[in-house]
Amino acid sequence: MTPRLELRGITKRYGKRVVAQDVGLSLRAGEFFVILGPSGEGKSTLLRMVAGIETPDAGSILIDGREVTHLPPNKRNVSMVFQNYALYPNMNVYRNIAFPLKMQFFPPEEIAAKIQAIAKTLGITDILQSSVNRISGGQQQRVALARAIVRSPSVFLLDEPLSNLDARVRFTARAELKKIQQELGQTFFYVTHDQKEAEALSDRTGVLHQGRLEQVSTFEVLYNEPETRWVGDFVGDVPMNYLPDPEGGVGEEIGFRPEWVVLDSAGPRSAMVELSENLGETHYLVCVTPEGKKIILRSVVRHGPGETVRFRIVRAQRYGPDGRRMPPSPSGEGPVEGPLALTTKADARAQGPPPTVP
Amino acid sequence: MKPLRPARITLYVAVALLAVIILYPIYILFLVAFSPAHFTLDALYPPQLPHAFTLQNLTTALQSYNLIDPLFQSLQVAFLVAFIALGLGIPAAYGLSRLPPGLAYGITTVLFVANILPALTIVVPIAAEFISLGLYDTAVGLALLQELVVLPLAVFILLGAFQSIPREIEYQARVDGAGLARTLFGTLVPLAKAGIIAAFLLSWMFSWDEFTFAVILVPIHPTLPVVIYDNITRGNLLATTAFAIVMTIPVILLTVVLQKYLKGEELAGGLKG
Repeated sequence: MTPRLELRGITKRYGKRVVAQDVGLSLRAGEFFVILGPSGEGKSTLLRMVAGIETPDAGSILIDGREVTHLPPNKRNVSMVFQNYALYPNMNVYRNIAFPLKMQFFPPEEIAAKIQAIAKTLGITDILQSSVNRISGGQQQRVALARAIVRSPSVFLLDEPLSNLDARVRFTARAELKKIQQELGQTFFYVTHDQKEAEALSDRTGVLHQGRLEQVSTFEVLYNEPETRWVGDFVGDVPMNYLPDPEGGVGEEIGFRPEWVVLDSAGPRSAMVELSENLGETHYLVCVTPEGKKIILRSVVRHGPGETVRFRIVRAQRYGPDGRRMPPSPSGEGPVEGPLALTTKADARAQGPPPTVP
Repeated sequence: MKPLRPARITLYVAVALLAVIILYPIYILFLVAFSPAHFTLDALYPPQLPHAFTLQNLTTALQSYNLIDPLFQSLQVAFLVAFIALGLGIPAAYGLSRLPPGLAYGITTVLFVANILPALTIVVPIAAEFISLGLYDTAVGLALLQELVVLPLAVFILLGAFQSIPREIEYQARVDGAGLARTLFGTLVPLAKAGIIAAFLLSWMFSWDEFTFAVILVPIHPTLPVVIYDNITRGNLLATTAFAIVMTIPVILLTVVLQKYLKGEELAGGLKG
């Protein structure tokens, strides 16, 4: 089956700044694909190249197997939602949504029927005749979405469509967006810097760093098996922890997340708490190991600065000196320093409920 | 009524003074036009207030001089100038607005070269050239000549208007399936409406009272300013006032009709971030 959207060796530079370096991607039909990365590292440019607003310096873009690299945006059969929604201020809501249909010369009755249907789905029926300047941010976002999905393009391009909403609205808008995508069964190519969005929305996520795709996989794999140390640090609430690998060579380190550690008074490792931060039910402990490495651990019990905690690592990834993930050590992946089970009751209390290792 | 703050008072005084400076000449114009001559031009000490009303001055002037032809010539040239300014200025300004702002303003500055040179320096060689091109003493010829000065101004105003439109609106229209022409005229031009009307008014009014180019290029079929000048030099002051009033009325009409579009209300909002 031909991929819905395919990028081959896309490279783009602005002067000396590289915003895309040999990016290759392939999106299945019906997939919700998220590009995740820090602000200003080429995510939006990648999306704009797919839309046809920017042209890559090298590489090719294929939509439904058709080469579109040098076609203008109106010949590509894509629709787009911009971060600022880009609603036409001189038109009301209805005419905004009707615009792409008019461009495709749909008869007026069909336009009206399509708009009524989409307005019902998105709950904007009662604002159809309003000016786009007089509606709330959440409503503007829906109108922009309605305008994008009212026709059926090959690919939907969404450039941080939720980032201008306040936190509450964003949460419901996110769930709604996923629902709509599943109902439509359409292909979404979505750009965000917010990993919560990637986690909630994506079928697969590609992590973009300085124009390079660091890793493409499900969010779960991104979190548990980061291909590079950079991904490990970027994904997750806190950066990954790294300690020298006892079995490895020079520069090789093991990387582990706070929840892959069990606090255990009989554990083989120790660290001194520097700082404790309370986040809901858990405390994040910023600790220093005897080697002088800073790591972050997790505990349900408060540990004050200066206290020493003992722990063992139950799960880890190995990273080479180049920062890339290495195959698991000969002893195999999984618990590297004993089982998940706790040895004493006191430790069980200190650890709290067993960590949910994803 | 709440007490006026000193800042307010000075503001009102300044506005009143300015209004008097601007309106007084117009008042005198109307006074002379509608009063019998022995109260105004023929009086040794003309009174500042109207003493009698007459239409005699106007009817005499209109009967004895050809006013209609210069009026039409002026209207023809002014509308030509305004429409050419928009027809060339809109594509030019749109193109410039897509360049980096520094470069765009650099190019616009270069366009003003014709404005830097004295009008008489430009008009004589061009008039000579227009004779061989068949554009001498024609409305089109005069309009083209006035574009030299008007077009850079129009481009400058339109450039600002296009630059204030977020780039995403244009991208969105393109992605939504609009071609280049539809994007420009269907979404960008409506959003630049205030700037376009301002450019239209400015171009029209410049042409309406332009004199130096007109007096040299269209002496046989003159425009209103040239006719007024002729009458002043011949001492026909009463006829001059009649022409001046005829010349003022279209400006007032046009301004009243178009000024409601100049508020730019519809440009606000619609975009976040």
